[in-house]
Amino acid sequence: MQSDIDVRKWVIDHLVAIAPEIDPAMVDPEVSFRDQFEFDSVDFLNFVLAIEDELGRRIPEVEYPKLSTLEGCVAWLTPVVNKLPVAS
Amino acid sequence: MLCETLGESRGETAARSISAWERLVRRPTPGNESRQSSIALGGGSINIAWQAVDRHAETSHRTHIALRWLGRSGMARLISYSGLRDLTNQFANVLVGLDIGKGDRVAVLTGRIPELYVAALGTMKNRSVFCPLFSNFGPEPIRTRLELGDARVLVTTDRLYLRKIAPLRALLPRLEYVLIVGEDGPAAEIPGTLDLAHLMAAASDRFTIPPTDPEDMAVLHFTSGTTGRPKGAIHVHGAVAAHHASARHALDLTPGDVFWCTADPGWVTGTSYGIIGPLTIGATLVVDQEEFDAERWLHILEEEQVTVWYTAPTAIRMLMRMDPARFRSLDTTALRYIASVGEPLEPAAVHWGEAAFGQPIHDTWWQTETGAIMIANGPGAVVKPGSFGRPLPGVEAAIVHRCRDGGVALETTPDTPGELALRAGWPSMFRGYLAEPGRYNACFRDGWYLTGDLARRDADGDYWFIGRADDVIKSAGHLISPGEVEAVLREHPAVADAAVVGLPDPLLLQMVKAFIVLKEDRSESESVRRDILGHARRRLGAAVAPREITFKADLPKTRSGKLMRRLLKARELGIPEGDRSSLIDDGA
Repeated sequence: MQSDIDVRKWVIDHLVAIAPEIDPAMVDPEVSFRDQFEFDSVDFLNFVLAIEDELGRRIPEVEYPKLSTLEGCVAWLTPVVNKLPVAS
Repeated sequence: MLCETLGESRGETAARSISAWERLVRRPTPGNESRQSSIALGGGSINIAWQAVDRHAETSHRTHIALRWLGRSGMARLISYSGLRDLTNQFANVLVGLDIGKGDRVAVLTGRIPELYVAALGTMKNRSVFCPLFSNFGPEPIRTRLELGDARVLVTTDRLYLRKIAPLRALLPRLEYVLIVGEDGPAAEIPGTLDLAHLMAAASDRFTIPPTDPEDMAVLHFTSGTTGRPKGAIHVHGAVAAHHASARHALDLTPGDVFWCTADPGWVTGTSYGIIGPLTIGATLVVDQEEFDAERWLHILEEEQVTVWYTAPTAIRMLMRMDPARFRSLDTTALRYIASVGEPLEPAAVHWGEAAFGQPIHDTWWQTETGAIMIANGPGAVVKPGSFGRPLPGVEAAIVHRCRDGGVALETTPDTPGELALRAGWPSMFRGYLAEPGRYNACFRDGWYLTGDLARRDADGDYWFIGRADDVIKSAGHLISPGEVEAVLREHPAVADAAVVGLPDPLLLQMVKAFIVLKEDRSESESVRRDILGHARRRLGAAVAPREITFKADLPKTRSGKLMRRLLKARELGIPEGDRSSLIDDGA
């Protein structure tokens, strides 16, 4: 994964892969995924696991609540993504 | 294998326990009215809400907290037994004002908010029937259940109404009243609905529970079969004897306990033990509005000083992912009993419980149809990790085989797989599937209720779960009907045929997987796959919809056209396929 990616778009891609019924244009960045779509705890875990896979690192459970909104994901993931080595 | 009754040494215990049940539910005979008066309404009546709430509100227990509600945003609400009595009286009076009476179904579709508990118990006070609907269901399962349940009233929130009910309303002509709770403050004004808070404020908090026959319908719980049509399991007021006895004997509950049942009342566990059983004991219920969140859950166990915790394997497996060090810093000294339900708890989870909480997790077994816990690793039992224990006092269980003559043969050799059966007649046994006597009668043979679960019993008398005898999927503790999911998939314009199976999953026990045959003019692509998945999730909700979809050229069927889900599953897992002689075409 390249460090210069658009983290917001990347997060939305992962959301939509799990819940294709989500309209990316309609995502309210401040409201938790659970409160705006049919996104249950299993969906959320699958979402986090998919992100972990791509980051190649584990995300501790204590951090999960920070990933519950789009804004939260962008804020938490941007510095993590920026620390990744640039793909050659 | 012999067709004979089991020579169990449990006979005496069973007899003692049944007589205890009888004392609770028996109609009074001349001379024993006084013995009844302390436990029942009088006149032979037994009403669940009276047993759960009013009985305590008439004693010094009235100030004890019945419900400790933890809101999503950090808000909390405490409701005492007398407070709960008044609120449920008001709700019963709201129903009376709408001319909703005995036997009328009151469906409730909300998250875990205080109004849900008030509506459930207030409905039962009025002798109307509480019909819980899981709020994560999509519109299709909701519509089917409201229709089959013939609901006259629906209690829901403004947000859920607009999202899930409003588009269906025209299809539900028999639904007369929709009572709305505001999710964020006062309810939004919505045409065709009534504001519950407004009705409650105008209703008296005094209500006399009318005489209630123990056989009067109290709860209608929908459960899934193999076909698309869900079954409405009827439960009666007399079932409370089993709710009470099992809360005491399987969950070790006492009046001083702080009890947290993590199940949603949309499922039977969340009603029998998320509402009724612990309240009849006089315990304090902890209710968390939020969905699963590992840190939040540990915080609740610690902060609320939960003493007895009833949860599910999927949640336990999610907690098992956490850093073990987290549990060393956790103060759960108050926690003295942990139980689990929904699907078999694997040995690793039992061992993890011992490491994380210093005590075993007690697996329990029961179903929507049984109404209450039937088999469990009870208090004091030596837990054999992976086993769900022994029948509770008064419950007679057996491993049986269905015979060609319509009867059953009892399996007496230990560790031999067969179908788990229960001797019919326990107080919380379902009394029917609404309007489907044929399906109900098919559950019984030779006086045994056949559970549809395959199990074995070891030489000590402990039971071990093997799997389902039918194609019903067990996922995250919920039963999911493959037929119901397939019917929705077939509605998609690109889909010619669909088959749905449960594949083994480390977190969910089984994961719902769909195999799709596309129409001839459609070709496989990621966008079609996502479109079908999105359609299924929109219609069914995340908990029921497939988590995975794969395309197939065709599906294995019998000569008569019946879908062979087991064969599909066997192929997917690379296990022997068994008898294929009746196959018409090979979908491999």
